[in-house]
Amino acid sequence: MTDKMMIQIENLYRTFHHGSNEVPVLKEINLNICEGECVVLKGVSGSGKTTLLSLIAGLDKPSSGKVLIEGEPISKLPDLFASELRAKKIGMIFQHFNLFEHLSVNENVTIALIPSGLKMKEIHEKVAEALKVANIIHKKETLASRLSGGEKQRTAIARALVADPNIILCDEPTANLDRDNSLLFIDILEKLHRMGKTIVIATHDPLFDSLSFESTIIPMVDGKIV
Amino acid sequence: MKKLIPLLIILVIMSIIAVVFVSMAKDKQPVVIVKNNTEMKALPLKVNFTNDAYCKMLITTKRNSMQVIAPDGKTWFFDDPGCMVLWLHDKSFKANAKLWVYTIDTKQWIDAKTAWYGVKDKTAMYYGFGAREKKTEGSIEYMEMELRILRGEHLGNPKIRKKLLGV
Amino acid sequence: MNEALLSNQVIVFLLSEVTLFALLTVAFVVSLKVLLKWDFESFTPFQFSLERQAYLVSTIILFVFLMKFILVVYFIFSIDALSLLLPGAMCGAGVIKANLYGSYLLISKIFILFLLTLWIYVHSYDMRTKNHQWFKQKSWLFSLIFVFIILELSLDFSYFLNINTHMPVSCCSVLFGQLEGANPLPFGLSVNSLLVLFYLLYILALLTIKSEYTILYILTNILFVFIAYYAVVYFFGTYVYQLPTHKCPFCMLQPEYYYVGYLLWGSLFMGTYIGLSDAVSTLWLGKTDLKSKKIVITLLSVFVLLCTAYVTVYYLRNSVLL
Repeated sequence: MTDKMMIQIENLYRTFHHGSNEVPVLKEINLNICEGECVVLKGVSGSGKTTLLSLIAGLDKPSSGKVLIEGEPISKLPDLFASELRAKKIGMIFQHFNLFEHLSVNENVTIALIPSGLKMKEIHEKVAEALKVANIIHKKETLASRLSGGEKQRTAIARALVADPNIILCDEPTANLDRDNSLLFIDILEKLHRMGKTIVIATHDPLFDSLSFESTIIPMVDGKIV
Repeated sequence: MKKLIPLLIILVIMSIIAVVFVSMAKDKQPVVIVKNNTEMKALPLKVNFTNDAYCKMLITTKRNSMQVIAPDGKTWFFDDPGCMVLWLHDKSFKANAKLWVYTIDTKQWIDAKTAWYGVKDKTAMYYGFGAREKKTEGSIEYMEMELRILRGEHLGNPKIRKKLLGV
Repeated sequence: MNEALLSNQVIVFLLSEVTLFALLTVAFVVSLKVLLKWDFESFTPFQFSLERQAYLVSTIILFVFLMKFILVVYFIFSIDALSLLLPGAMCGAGVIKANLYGSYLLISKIFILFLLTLWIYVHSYDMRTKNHQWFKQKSWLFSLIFVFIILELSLDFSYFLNINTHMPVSCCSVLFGQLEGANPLPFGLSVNSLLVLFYLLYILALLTIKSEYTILYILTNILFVFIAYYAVVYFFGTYVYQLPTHKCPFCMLQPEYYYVGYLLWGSLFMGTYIGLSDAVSTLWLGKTDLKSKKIVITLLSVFVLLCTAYVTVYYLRNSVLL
């Protein structure tokens, strides 16, 4: 972990409007995450963890407040630039994996690098490297629809890593995994932590309460950090 | 090639300027209207270079040509007394306009209202009213000429032509 | 109610203009509010709301402006169709001259299309910045365009309401014909010197478009359009019609001539709009786009080649010029 600030969140609010009703999902979030830090956002369903991750990734815009990724205000960036920033600096792992079921492991991971403009030879090299780190290279030609839950999650990890992002965001990564696969997932997270990646995990899985590597647990209740 | 571009640009600009200036120097637009003739005098008529204000034809001879000068000095030209009458009849300044006609007998510009007009002369637009300074047999005054034109009683009318010329 | 106003084309045209104007009015009201309160450095809920509204407004404006281009083509098509209703009109030329408003309306539409192209340029540059760098310039330009569009709409209605289908109009041979002995060309040019000037200006436009002489390019392009108009009406057009006395910019829009007028005038005006917009953007915003310059070169070359082709083909077929 270094002192370089990777994610800065200042006075962040997010309110959803349903007709005339206002639903405040995030209230006054202030958070600073340094490079190499692992942060676990712990809270029950509806506490605002996923919304916070979406705002950090630039997939949503806040109602007010700042979200800075390495000093860039991602919350203010037009979609074009937010997508560019996300593609270069952020890798995302979702609860339901979000793979293309009709494509193979190799193809699912390769797709993430197509917009980068790299030559195919370079892309193949990076994909192979990411598959090795995620420990799924032996299944690279297998269709995603034929993978187990754990294998799908490892494919998702490889896809998140392939662009070599500095930040990894995980949204309920073990919700659809059994205990053994969850532990395997945590092992890979440890590997990523050793590689110096900044990791933010949104989860209510108690396995993340006591990780074997240094991490910060941030409890969230009703859209606030407690 | 990049070094040549500024030179080419200069060459092309110079050519364009040359073409435009040479054309402007040669520009010979026919005269249609002359302004500032406040003395209401008959102006020199440039033959083959002046358009009749009514029929738009080029005036090719001074014979029977006319000039109408409005009180503000604007001067229009006509190749035939018939064209002049048809053009003038609805103008607001008609009563105050000065009219000049170039006669075929004395070959000079005279007040059109004092001239005498033959009824079967060969004129530019074939209305038939040739202008004279001196009265001749069968010639009519300006007012009658004007009436006949407005009533269509001129050589352009086949019945009148048959009656006067037998053709 | 005159028959022109009840024709299908005019009803569709006016309804479309009114609809687009209504959208623009909404966009204008919102954009004015956004413009006056805009502070991009702020992270307040109000500023985020303004940014969302700005995006919406820009989308509406872009849509309307693109539709305006199509509507102008439809306008030309409509007035050509109206020539069947007006006695004496053989093409759009007579219809345009049916009353005082026609010429002003056509000129205003041509001018407004240039402003729309310029706005599209500024908008595309603005969307490629992280901090909406040219949002204010874009918004003020839109406000100016809106004023012109109000004038255009009033001219639209004034024009169509005042077309008298019982009053004969002049056909193009009267409108574009000339006094005996008179020269209709500017600067006293003869047809030969007009053609020399036409090609020289085209070459100058090509030479200056990629150079740093932006102002020279702007002047060249404007002069080229001016000279090109006369060249098409008084020379190239006669080869389209294969008749030395037929001088008209509108008849070539008709099916007898395979609608070539749309391609001819379209390539000239689009090339001019894009070229001038790129040049003005260079001077105003300091931004330029190489792709646009290539498009301009292509369009102007298509225009010049098409004009030249008509003459060349005629000469090759008949071994003589008109």
